[in-house]
Amino acid sequence: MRKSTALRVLYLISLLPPALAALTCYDITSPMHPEILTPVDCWADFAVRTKYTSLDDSGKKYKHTGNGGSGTDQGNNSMSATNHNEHTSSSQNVNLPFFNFAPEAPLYETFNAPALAAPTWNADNKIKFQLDCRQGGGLCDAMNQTLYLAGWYVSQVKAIIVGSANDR
Amino acid sequence: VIFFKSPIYVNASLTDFCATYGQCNSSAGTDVILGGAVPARTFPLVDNDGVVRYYPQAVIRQMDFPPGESPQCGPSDILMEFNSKANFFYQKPNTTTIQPDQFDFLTVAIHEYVSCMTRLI
Repeated sequence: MRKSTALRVLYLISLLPPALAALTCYDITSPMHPEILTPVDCWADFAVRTKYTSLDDSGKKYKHTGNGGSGTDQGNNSMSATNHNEHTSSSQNVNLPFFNFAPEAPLYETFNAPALAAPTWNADNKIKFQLDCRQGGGLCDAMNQTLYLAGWYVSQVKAIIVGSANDR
Repeated sequence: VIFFKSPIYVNASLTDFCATYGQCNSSAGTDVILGGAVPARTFPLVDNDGVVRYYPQAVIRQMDFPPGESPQCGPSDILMEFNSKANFFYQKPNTTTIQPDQFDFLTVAIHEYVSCMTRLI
């Protein structure tokens, strides 16, 4: 997305009433018109909303409930230690003050989850696509195959690490 | 390589950008828009630094939300549109090499895939 588009998105968000903006996701209907946003209520579970609406709205809302508070992650694992420190400092202000009720990103849990197994050459392509193509002359078939190949490259093929110690 | 926990669903289409969007080639044919892609849905989340950012749906699918607190995703994660008027080169068996006035569709497609998975607002 262009920077100007992102700024337009933020501008549109700033016009929304706080209660609406706090929970709203946005659908984009066309890559050629990313500025056209459709608000969507994506947090359907009301329990999720009420959980977050009970937080303090004074700008000190961030309260992480992750399991990194044992103190055992200090020292050896610098990333975990950094995250832990960030979690316990609740005095940081939210950049967009009306987002008092936006749910917390589960990045901490995600990053600390066990590593996924590396894909094998024969694993299923993780990028699945549906192509709307009405051109003739084998163009759609070529596009179909190339989109599949692109998805395969992104999700299956490991990068070759160049510039190892022997190469330098 | 990106290790995906959940598959990514892409809705791709081939469109005449000139007829549909008025994005027509110049006489030199050098400023053609090849295509574009956007996340079909974006979700606001508060990060560890206390900052709210909008995450694309393709990334949301990979996150570990607490049980019962996952957001509702739409049917497609990424919307792609390619210009039918662009002179794309496709790597097919028995094809000739790419010509100077052609654009490698594989490169464009990979670019669009990755850009929609790594974009935060």
